[in-house]
Amino acid sequence: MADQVINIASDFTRYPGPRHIEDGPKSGEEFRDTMLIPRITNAVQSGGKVVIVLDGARGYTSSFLEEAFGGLVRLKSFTRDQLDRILEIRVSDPKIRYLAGNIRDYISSTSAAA
Amino acid sequence: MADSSKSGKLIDALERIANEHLPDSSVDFDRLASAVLEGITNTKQHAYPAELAKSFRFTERWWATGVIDKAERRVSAIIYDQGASIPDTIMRAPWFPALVDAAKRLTSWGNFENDDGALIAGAMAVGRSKTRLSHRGKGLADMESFMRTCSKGRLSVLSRNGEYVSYAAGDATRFTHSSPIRGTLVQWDVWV
Repeated sequence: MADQVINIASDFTRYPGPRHIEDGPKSGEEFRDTMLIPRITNAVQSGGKVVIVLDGARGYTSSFLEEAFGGLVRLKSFTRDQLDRILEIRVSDPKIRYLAGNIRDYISSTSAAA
Repeated sequence: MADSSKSGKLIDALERIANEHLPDSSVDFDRLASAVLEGITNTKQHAYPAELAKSFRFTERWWATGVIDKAERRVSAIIYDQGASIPDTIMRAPWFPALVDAAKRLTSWGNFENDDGALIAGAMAVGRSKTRLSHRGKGLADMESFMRTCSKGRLSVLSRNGEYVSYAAGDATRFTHSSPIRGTLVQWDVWV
């Protein structure tokens, strides 16, 4: 199956928002539930990768990224192994390359909610 | 509502003006946008609690502006709310007694509960610490961490009678003023 690409700046927003939907528009929760989960679920069922492109947005709060990616493990029952296989974070801008590492940390340091 | 498109467009405008008047400035405007949004989100989450709505008569809004000072070679972003102050908010937090106890044992802050500068510094320290819900409550710390990416700058947080100033080099200071401001004003200053 072909890789599915999500360019956050062009497919979701150039202005990523806060953590929760109740806090404001274009939140990490909204991105996770409306963009990430459908594609990851598809990739789990049929193979392939989900490629996330971070370039071009006006900054990401750690709250947005933690909720979007850490929340997949904490709240949505995806496993770290699954996400390691399926998710590819792509960054061209050297100034924001550290965000790919942060996302990996959010996924690896999060435990599923009891 | 923490509307990232509004705060983000303010930073877009600030970057355009900086590029025109302060070419070669090394400000990371994406990180500044993130710090400003964390501050506005903090306002949304804490400054207007329903239980204080009657006593404070809130206007549930936030304001933001920016400055390019060509002579000083300074870029500033400022946000303000008229809600419950940081000292008011943390004194109602469930973890506040533990914070007072730790401050008395570990610091020389003295009469911590009546020192608004120390209360803001305490709120920043809690934001930096690992909590049980470590994915939450990092907004204040994220506002501050932007300064660590600058070579010369400061973050100032004024709330009620307190002021906390954190410098790019990593040091911080605090004051308690005789007159309060209503709400909270946060200012990032970066010299380029």
